[in-house]
Amino acid sequence: MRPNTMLATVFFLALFLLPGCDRISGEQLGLLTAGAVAAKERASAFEIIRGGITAAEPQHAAGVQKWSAAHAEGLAAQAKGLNDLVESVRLHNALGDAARQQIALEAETAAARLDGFVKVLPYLMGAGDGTAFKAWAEDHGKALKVQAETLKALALKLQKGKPKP
Amino acid sequence: MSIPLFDPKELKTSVAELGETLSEILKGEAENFILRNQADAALLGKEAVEAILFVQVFAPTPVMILPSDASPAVIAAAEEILTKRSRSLQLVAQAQKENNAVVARVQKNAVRTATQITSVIVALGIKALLTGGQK
Repeated sequence: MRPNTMLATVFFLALFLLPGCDRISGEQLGLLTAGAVAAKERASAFEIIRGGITAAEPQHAAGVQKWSAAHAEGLAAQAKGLNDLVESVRLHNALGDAARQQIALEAETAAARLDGFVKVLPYLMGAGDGTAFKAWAEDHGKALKVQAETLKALALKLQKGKPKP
Repeated sequence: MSIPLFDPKELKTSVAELGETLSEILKGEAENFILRNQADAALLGKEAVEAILFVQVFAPTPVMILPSDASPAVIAAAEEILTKRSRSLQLVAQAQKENNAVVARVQKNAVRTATQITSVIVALGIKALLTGGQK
């Protein structure tokens, strides 16, 4: 074996055997990208309607306002975080332990955010036509569910595919 | 880390004040952690190093399960915690994109500190429950 070939072999072997750093499959990258796109869509969709959301009953005004601000900020942060994660994974063509943990936490957060939305919805009122708000809320809930499920599916795949230490 | 867990003069332990105490502990420990990782903090930024520590604290902590009759104020408080998680995760993802190896190094250091913080949180929670909200 020529020295250059040997060096290249050692380099590639080291790359694949690097602890805590595994290559990402096309399917996994697809799921991660879908989760990131969904998060961005949710952040934009909520930002558009946010100004018109009020409490259905005045005693819940402060709570609804606080929830609305946190929901908007959280969705925006998650959208940016997932987008950065996609870029990072593409750049390094690998998923390190930090990225795996991050995906698991993003999945858990998305599911909890969906749960919060479902439970706060009866206390919300949208601007103008009630039917239009109802349709928007149904769509937002469904899309949050799809996003949470996509991230959960990816987190489970990564958990199963993780080599045991 | 040395926290006088059972010294009433040093620590507020009622259930109502638990959140405030935890915030103080987290803030103080984050400052110490940044100091111990000063060289990496100069590369990643203090905010990112703090976020790496917070993610390690959040990781073993289950998210709050809301009761079906939770009021908007309670739902909002839970949503704010989720927002803090998302914000920390976002800062880590951003730092990772720019400096993957340094993030991995800081994360390794953060695991130990986070375990210590988690133990304190659990101990404080138990103590607050045992004292039944009494100061």
